[in-house]
Amino acid sequence: MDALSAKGVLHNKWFYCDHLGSSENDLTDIKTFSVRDPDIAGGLANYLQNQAFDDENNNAMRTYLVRDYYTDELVGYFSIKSGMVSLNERKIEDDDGNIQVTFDTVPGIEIANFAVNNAFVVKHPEWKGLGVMIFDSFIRPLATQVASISGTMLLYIFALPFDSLINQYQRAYRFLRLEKRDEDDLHKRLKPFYDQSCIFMFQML
Amino acid sequence: MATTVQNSKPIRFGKPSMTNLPYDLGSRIINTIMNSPKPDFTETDRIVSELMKKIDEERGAENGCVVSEGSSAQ
Repeated sequence: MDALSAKGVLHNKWFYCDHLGSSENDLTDIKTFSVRDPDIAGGLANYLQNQAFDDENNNAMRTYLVRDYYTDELVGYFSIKSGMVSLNERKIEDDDGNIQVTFDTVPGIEIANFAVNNAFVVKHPEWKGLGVMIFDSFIRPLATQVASISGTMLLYIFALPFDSLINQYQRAYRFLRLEKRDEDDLHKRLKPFYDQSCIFMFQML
Repeated sequence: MATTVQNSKPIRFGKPSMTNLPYDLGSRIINTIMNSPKPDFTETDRIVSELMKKIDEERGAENGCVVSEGSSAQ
């Protein structure tokens, strides 16, 4: 594998990732993308197949397809976008007694979508850790690249509230959770529009 | 035989907004974030290493050749 013929924006020994739309095969290939639990994660396949191209064209999101380096099969995909954690504006009095409006922000990258292609997993049932590999080889390096260009302190994700998934994000991906009290207060802000809240999980870049 | 029809409503999952947080809650959250250590990827590296080794063995066995190291992320 020489540098001149290297595929994608990033690659490792066996896989590469590239912007959605970089290949003429993307539109066809994403139609075969599937998730293991459509009842729970069907939205991830739906986003890729029906919304991702529009968001890409509008710069609302950057979606990357991960492919097998040698067969070009679709292994997974992820979408990232800029974001932040911020306080609301508030007025403070400075040392001279003047009132100033201020707010605090922590800039970050949100992993808005992230899924492994179940069709590929079924073909390679012994290849455990494809999601972790995608995160380690592609997601985090891309976030680090963004951080080298523009202030970015955080990488975060909103995880579906299932214990097995949360545990995996903590153990294998090294994401952290907030204090329970703060999670509960965050979730209260969602009611009554949503039944359950995704869990905000983060890690420093 | 009586049958029961269950109307299962799908659960709606929402993402909490992390912007424009109320001062008390937001201050606590930002404080937690700013005092968090950088991640230790020892376990992550182990999982990825095992996966790559598995693929090396499988594809090396398929092709009957030694696979050379690929380029790392740019």
